[in-house]
Amino acid sequence: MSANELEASAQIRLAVRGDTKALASLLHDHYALLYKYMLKITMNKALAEDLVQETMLKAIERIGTFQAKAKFSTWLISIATRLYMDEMRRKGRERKWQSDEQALQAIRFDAAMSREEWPSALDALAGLPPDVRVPIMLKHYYGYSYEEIAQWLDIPLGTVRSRLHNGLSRLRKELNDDDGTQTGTK
Amino acid sequence: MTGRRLERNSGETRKGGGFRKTQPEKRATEEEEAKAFEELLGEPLRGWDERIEPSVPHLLELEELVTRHREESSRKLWRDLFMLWLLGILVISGMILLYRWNVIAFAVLQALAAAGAVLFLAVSSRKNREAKRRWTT
Repeated sequence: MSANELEASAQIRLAVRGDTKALASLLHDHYALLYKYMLKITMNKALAEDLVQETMLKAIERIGTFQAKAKFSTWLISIATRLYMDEMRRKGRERKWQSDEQALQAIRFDAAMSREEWPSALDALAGLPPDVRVPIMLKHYYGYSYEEIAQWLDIPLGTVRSRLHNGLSRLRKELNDDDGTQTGTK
Repeated sequence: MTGRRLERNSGETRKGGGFRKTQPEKRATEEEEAKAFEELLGEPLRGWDERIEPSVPHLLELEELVTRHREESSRKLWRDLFMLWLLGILVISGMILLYRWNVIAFAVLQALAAAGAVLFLAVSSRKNREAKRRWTT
């Protein structure tokens, strides 16, 4: 175990015992990771910021129950994922498409302002419903197991597999169609 | 050996009639999907990830947040506990008074309360199931 890891685990132990400074420091260290995760799965800056804050508050309330079986970042991501899924459940599947589109437009605008490219692959990812986008990101970008994803999303293992399979097929089809259209117009 | 028996013995089929994947097959699918993800989204996502610049709050602000939230939670806990005790005392006192006044009225109220609780549980569980079904299908 490296010195950094030792320090982190000592900090976790202190935080679990109720040390305010240790917990604040852990939250500080993981803030960027959590925000980046939330932004990628929500594709909505305002919602990502709200959910990061909610996750932090939940972590402050529940830190006493953290058993250090998994990494602290995994624990935070599991809380954030559950909060996001709860939020989506509350709003229902018939979410306001327009507000989603506006939120994505804001992200695209930021990219354009920084003179950065916004790949069509990210538009295709944003076009997926959250219940498909989240397992795809968790499995293939963050490398979590099917079991962890099933537990966090409160769905059967088979459903996780089928959502991953169908989601990737849909992305492939959409991006191939886009390529076809672009080639066709050329 | 008949086909059906062979299926049952090998354990390779499921109710729907489709073939259940073996472990190596599952692993192969997983690898294939990981490769597809990498080809489709790997580079764009990593690029975007690197460009995201969150405004991380200062450590002191987070310390203040932790302290404030703990204080608020503790205050809320005590308030809720006080309300619970108050409500409990009121309900129990009311019930005792009612029992002394009229036993039948007491029994009717108990039965109504039990029926109301069952109805409430049934409706809320149905709502939860509905929400879950909408989400998981």
